[in-house]
Amino acid sequence: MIRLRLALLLALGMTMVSTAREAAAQVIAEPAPPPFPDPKKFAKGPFASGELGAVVFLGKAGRYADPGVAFGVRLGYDLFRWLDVQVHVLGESSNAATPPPQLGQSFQTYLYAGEVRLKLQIHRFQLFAEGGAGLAQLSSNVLDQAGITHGSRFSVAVVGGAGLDYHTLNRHFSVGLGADYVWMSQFTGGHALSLAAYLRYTR
Amino acid sequence: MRAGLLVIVLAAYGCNDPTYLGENAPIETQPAMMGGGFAPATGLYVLPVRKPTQTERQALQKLQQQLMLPDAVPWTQARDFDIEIEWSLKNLDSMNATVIVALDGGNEFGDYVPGAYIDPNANAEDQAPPPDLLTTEPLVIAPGAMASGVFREDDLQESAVDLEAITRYPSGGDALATPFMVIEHRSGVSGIGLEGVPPNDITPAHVRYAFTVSADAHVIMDYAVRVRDHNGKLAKPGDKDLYVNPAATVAPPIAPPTP
Repeated sequence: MIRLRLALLLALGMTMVSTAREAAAQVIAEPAPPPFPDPKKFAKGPFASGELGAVVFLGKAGRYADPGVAFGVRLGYDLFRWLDVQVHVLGESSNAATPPPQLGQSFQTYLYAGEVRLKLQIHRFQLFAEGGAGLAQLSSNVLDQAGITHGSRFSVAVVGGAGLDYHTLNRHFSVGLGADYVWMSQFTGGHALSLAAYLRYTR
Repeated sequence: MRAGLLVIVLAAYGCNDPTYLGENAPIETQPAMMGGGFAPATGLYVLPVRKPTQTERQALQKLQQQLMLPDAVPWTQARDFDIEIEWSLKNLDSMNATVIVALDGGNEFGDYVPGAYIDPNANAEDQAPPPDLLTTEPLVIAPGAMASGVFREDDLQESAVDLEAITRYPSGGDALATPFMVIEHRSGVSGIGLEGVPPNDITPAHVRYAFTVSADAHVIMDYAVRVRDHNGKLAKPGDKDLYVNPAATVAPPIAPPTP
């Protein structure tokens, strides 16, 4: 009888001890999160991005136009993990540094372009290069006097640039930095550099 | 709601785009033929405005009837344009120059020439011309130095109101006295001199700019005309058949009496 009691107590004790250890083991053994999110799980498809930055005119245009703040939007589609197509609209405002009598004037530059973006994804980072062509528009003819524009406010524009994209832990959002060179062929010395930070949402 | 927002966005996008029009030629003072010193230099710039279509002419006539105005509704209306004139002066002399820039001119109906408004019947000491429509303070410019300034949009709106009273609707019918009254008063503050203008009147724009540069030295003035054209009335570059008379002077409908 005594042996039976001892055997039951021992079995009960073993059960309690083993249960307690099992509970501790569940917490300790919880799998650690992976060091990087899987880029394959990033959203892919239509996207929109908004950008804020600056446009700096170069060369002859840079002598008569100060750097200005720029806002832009890109709408596009991820065709592949390595290729996007996008439309790009950018607006920028600059002060004109024209000689007298046209002092203290300002003007806006608008860019409407179709672009492709080539991408290389490295974990959460992405290196990209982009390029395209479109139309540049000035809001006024203030640069006529400086010999930059010649009656028309429109020019064919060619765009090329590169940047770095960083994906957030949310599969839809990424942020990035980009730099684009813009050549406005109908404007004499019509060169500019666009630098922007952006937030991108991919559906 | 959305349509209204769209209209606001489109208006903000396009409404403030100015056009810069270059000067005809610099205005440069030259030594006076007699008496020494330098003679005032003058120059005229006429705003290039396209002619109205037949439909637009009919609409103006209809508007005149609707508003019951005694005289024609102008084609170049002050509300069609916001105009600013930027100017710069350079002293080409080897001594300080004291310079005054004056702007007169007219609207599509006629000009205001201050010298024509001297009352011949007044005492000799009172026979002074009325003030210019717009003028600068005397500017002292060092040798080789430059000065610049602007006749602002609100200045040219005001001069348009003054011109309307002077050229078509003088106060009490007194053409000689009206310039003295309207030019010295801002129309937004005082209606003195504007009593003859009909209440429903549509103000013609100040579209002919007669510059006078008075200096005691050799100076040169450059200018540019900046126009915001709200109703597409500015002529395209190269247009030949323009609306505003380019003659040196245009007699106003109500001219001052000749002595």
